[in-house]
Amino acid sequence: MSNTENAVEVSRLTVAYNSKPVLDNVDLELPRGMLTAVMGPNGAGKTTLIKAMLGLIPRVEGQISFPRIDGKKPCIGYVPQSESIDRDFPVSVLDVVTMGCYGRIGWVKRPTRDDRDFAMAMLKKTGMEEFAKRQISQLSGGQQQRTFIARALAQRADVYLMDEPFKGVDSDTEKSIIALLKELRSEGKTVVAVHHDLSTVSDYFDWVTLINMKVVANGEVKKVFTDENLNLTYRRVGKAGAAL
Amino acid sequence: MNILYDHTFLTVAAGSAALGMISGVIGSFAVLRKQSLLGDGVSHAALPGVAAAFLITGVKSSGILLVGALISGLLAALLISVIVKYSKVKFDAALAAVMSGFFGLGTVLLTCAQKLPNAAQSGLSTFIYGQASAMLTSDIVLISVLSAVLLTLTLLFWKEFKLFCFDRDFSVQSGFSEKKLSLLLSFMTVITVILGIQTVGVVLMSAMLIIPAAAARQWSDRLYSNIILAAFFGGFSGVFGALTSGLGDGVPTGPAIVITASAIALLSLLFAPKRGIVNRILQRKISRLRLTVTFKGGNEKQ
Repeated sequence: MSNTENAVEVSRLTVAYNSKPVLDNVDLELPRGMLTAVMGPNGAGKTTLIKAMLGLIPRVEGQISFPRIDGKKPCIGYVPQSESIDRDFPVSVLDVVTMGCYGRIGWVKRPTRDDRDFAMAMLKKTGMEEFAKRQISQLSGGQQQRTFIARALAQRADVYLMDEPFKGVDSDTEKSIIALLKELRSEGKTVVAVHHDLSTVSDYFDWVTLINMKVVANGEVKKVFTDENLNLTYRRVGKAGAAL
Repeated sequence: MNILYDHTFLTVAAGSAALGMISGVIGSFAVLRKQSLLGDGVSHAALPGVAAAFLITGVKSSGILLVGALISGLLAALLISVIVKYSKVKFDAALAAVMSGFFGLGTVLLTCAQKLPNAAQSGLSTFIYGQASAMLTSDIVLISVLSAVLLTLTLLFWKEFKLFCFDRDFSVQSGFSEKKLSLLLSFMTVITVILGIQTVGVVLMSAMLIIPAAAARQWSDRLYSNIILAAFFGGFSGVFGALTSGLGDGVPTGPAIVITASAIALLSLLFAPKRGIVNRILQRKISRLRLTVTFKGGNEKQ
């Protein structure tokens, strides 16, 4: 049933807040080993889709599966939207990145020296090693974003779900983040990222999912990132809302 | 200072110290997960349990009264979460409603209980403002044993608590059940509150959870040092409060402990390095001065 070429399969997914649907009967298959952009206007359900995929919010109906890779359950990495984080929490940057190892370590056991070394290596990868001892509130927006990406890298995931990884970062940071994502792709990993900037989609991503409560289009950027589909996604908010 | 050799005083001081320490530790997690008021709700809600336990059993042993407190405290916590889950009432409103409702009921039950012949010397009303001087050696044993259990749990689940309080979604995504962690933390808060109400009283108990934690946060940006400091501030307040109350004629211990903790918090807010208000004002002045000097220096060269 599952297509081994897919990283994520979503079928008949409906999510509602206070009985108002945010995602309505969404069917979606995202390919493995590609960079996918999830796009749509505000309130289209992008974050909801990511959170539902992770099992963080209850769903009214539908199924989500991450097909096995070489017979093994894939590991999922997550970069949350940066505003959702309590910046004043007393943790250092290295602490935060080490949290990426916690899932692998399991209950009760402590992170080892190796875990911390690995976290440090991930900080190096994101160019953040000099900030390892800082408290997270003492970072700029872009540095915070890179910290949370380093934490996801520490999860050693096969599939990465990222909620607006480019939000609040300057263009240099954006370039270094996209270089990292492309590196992940070259290692055969899958990245699904909520994205806003229409002008960079073709440069950054291979695959695009346009949603507005329902899936408007889902396919290779070359094929589905068309004016027509964008109009359908961004201009019909009123109509789509009224239809429900 | 022969008070230091007084058995009652030593008992009270040891109990208050242990209580202050554990409140600092557990309170830190409550504050960090932004549920500081849960302790307030639970402690107020414990009052009808105390009165009811006495009315039903007619016994005034602190063990039985605390079991009553525990049951009504847990019942209130449960009621709050049910209200939040099944209605549109938000957490703060549900908490305020349940807390004052239970406290009202507690006061009524207490009045009934005090009309009973053996209630006069039972000191039931001391549960409102606490009475540390009534502490017995058996109470200290109870506080110490339960504190040890709570500390062990904290050490065991340190990593999980840290992640859960910091980033709930990531914690769930990493495979740590929200239900289990949230329940465990709430349960630990309730136990701490119940341990403290006899000493500090239901009205002031939440201060013991919140104030040392808030004061400690001013001094450090690391979780472990935060919690050690909170434990120290709590413990110190306990001993100092007991001492003040022992020396001062008729000064109640609970309020003395809370005032000590508040003084520490005030000093911390003002004078802590980095986060302290005084330091921040000084830093601003210094950098303004530097700017002026650089500016003038630049002018002179021209």
